[in-house]
Amino acid sequence: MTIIGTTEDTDGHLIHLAANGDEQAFERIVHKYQHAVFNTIYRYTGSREDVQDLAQEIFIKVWRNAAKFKGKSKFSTWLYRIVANHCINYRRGRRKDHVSLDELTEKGITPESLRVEPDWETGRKVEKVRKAVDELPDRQRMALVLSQFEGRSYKEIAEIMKVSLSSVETLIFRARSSLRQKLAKVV
Amino acid sequence: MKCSQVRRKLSAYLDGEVSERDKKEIDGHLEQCKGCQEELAALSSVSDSLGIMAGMEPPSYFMTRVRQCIREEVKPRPFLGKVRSIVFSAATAFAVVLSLIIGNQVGRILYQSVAATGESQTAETTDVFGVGTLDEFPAGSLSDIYNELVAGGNNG
Repeated sequence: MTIIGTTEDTDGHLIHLAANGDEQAFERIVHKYQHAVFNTIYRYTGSREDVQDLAQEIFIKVWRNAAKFKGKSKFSTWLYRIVANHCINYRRGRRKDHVSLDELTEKGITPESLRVEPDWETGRKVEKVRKAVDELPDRQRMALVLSQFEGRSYKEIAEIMKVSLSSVETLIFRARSSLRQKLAKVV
Repeated sequence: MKCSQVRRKLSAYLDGEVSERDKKEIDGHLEQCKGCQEELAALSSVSDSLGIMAGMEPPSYFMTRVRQCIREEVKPRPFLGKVRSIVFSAATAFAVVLSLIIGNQVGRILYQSVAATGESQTAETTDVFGVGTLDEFPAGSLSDIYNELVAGGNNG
């Protein structure tokens, strides 16, 4: 049973209830975090088609492993760690079948994520930014997405990605430097 | 701070992730260094341009999808799960030991019966393919002629 609006209604309490099979508590978690999970996956993978499946797999993983959450970190940190690992593994798996964006463009295929907006100029910019982000190494991209879009602090990103604070600083610095060169004509 | 040190920290500076002490030093450096000011503007511009990447809203039916999935999940209770695991392991070990014992016994019985029949078979085989039997060839056959020649040679 969940009590809305009280101190009991915390993430830690909800996940504890979920670990004991409380579906309603779990649904509250899904409801609260589904936007963050969708956005992180989408901005990281750039694939609109796969977001739903990945998000579903992530929440199922949360449900199955709810009992493993011991409250040593914030629930959001624990959840983002699952998201980050799942996304990075997904990308690594897909790289085997990777077809470069240039190859797709040559064949006249535009992935959903690169489909131009009604405003041609904006669409072109979005396409270039997405392509540049897509080309970043996995960990740089994840650190950038968590910081830039999800507003996670460097300290939390370090916990999520299990790296040092200075590594997070370097990952984001390198990601931005790389994007700066790639987007020189767009920016 | 030198320009190279400042530039490595500009990204964190933009995110408000530098210490108070570093912030003061970077602020002071930026007031005097046009190159680093431009660097900061460029990084800031990158952050701005990333803002163009739209997010994605979960569909309204997403919750239903997840709900269906978790209901399909069979979640054994921890205690029962452990008991089940122990019983399964014990049953597997018992089955392996039992099959070894049965296999051993069956093997022993088979060996003994084969050994027993083997002795009588050897005797029969000697009778069937014995030299005496092979001596009696049809008259005039090649074997009969050969035997006579050999016998003659031996006698004479």
